[in-house]
Order: sequence, then structure tokens, then C-alpha cells
Amino acid sequence: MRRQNAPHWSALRQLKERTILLNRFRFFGILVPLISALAAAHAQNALVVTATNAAQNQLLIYDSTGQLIHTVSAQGQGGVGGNAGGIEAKGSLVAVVNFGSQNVSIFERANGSLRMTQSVPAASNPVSVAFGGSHL
Amino acid sequence: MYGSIVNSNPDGIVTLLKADGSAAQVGVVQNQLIITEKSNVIETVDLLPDGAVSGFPTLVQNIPANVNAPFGLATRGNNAYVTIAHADEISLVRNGKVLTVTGSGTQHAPCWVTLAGPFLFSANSPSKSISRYSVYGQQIVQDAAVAASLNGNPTDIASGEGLVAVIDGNGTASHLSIFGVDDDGNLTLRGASTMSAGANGVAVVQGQD
Repeated sequence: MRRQNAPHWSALRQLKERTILLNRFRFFGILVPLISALAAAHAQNALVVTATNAAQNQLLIYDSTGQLIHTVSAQGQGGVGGNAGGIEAKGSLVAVVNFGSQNVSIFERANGSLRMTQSVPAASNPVSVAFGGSHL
Repeated sequence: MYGSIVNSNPDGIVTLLKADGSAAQVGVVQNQLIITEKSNVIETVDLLPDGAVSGFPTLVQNIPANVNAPFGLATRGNNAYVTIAHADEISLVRNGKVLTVTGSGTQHAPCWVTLAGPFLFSANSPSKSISRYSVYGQQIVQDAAVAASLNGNPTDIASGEGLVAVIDGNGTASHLSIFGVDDDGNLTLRGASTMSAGANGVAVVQGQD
């Protein structure tokens, strides 16, 4: 009896293994597009910022398609030229140099945009800014 | 910084080597700041374990003899990719030394740079273009002289969230261009905007869940 049943059990085992394999494919088949969709949604949600650099410096806030969505005062004076890194982002924070007023404005992401939270004085006219560890 | 609050009192101040007003950009590598001054200086400043600046600036070693106006930089880990803009070169600085120098080929003055995954993108001001380089180990290999063209002379470039953003200007207006970056480093324009001349700086702010 046992010898006659052996092929039957083998077939059942193969069927079970195929089912597990199929379920794995289904799982990853759902997971991979889901992760891709979440990453795409995250990028859609990203903001791009620049500063007017005018006498009354303003932060211009764009969505990821280049649509201007908000303009927020930096409460400082622009006027820098020929430099890069005048704006730096780290996580939900953004720092903007105000060359003319010798300070750096700090913005924090809130409600799909950015709000200014702080003005930090600089030793002289700032041209570039960077975040490193727990420091600005 | 305490959370998102920046202490208004600096915990260190260092005078740059030249300090002639030509400072171009600052970045952070492991335990050091790296700074460019257009008057042909690339220097580092040590950071204490708590992140405060310490001591005096140190001139980076092996700066090429033809150095001409170091401008932009991008950092990752212990590597800093520093442009030597007017010599049409991009260099790799690690542990206080220039290890590699790569020419920008047909594109001139690769002023500003940003890192996006395995790629380094340079914004070439007089050429009004973006070049793409593959960077790995000590290698900087140009694999697309013109990855994208711009309306004006680029003044800054940034990346993040699968995007590359560039600010350029032509004297009468500034432009913001936003590109998507695919897995091969190809740039696809997603949107552009025009604003008053003189806009400065650009950054990509991460999305919220």
C-alpha cells in the first residue's frame, strides 16, 4: 500500500510547493509595484525651492512639475552672486542665506509647503550653507 | 541643532585661508568641512566629534598646477567632488588630497555639481548644459557630455527624490528646470518656470508620507 501511495504523496508535495511558489510570486508581484508606486508618490510630493535673492529675499516653493505653489518671505536681504549652495535642504528643513542681512533663514516643511521658523545670525555675509550631523 | 532648532550662537568660527570674499561653496565630509575659494584654494576644516569647527583650515594637497577657480562641490561619505571650473576639470578630494582630475571635454566651466546615485551631474555655465559622469572608487568618467541643455547660464544644481533641479539665468530672467532621473541617469524634463533675474540657490525638499 505504502509503495502504491508514494507517487500520490509526491504529487501532493509538488502541488504544495508550486502553490507556495505561486503565492510568493503573487506576494512580490503586489509588493514590487506597491513600493514603486510609493516611491513615485514620494517624488511627486517633493518640493523644489529657490530664492529670489532680492532686497527682500523670498523663498519660492515649487512642486515637482515646476508649478509655483507658495512664496514665503525669508525676512532677510539677498544680494549674493556667483556661488552655489545658497540653499540647503536636509529632511524637512531648508536653510537659505541672506547675504545682505548677514543671516540664514530656517524653514520647516508643514502642510505641503514650508514655513519660516528661525533666523540665525552669521559672522559675516553668508554665501553658502550646509547641514552636517547636528550642525548647520 | 536641537531637533529642528538651530542654536543662534556658533560653537566655532574659523577664518578661511584666503578670506578674500571669493568663497564659493561649503560642504561636509566625514569629520571635516570642505570649502572652495575661487582664488584657487580648496581647504578643509576639522570638525570635533560633536560637529563644531576646530583649529585652522588646511590647504588640500595635490591641487593641480593648472588650478583655475574652484567653484562647486558635492559630497558623499568621505568623498568630495570639486569643480575646477575655469580649468574645465572636476576633481575628487578625499582625506585632504586631490586623488583624481577629469576633464569636462567639449563642455566648458563645469561650475556646479550634484550627486544622484552613481551619477555626478555638472552644470556648465558658459556651455548652458548639464553633463553626466559615472563616479565610483577614484573614477570620474564622463558618459554624457550633454545630458540636457538649458536656456541660460546655470548658477546652481541640486538633486533628490529622483529629481535634478537647475537654476539658470540669462541676465533678464532666471529659470528653474526640473528633470526626472531614470536608472541609467537619463534626464527627462518634468517642468520649468521663469522668474525675475537673480534667483540664487536651489534645493530639493523630500516628500512627506
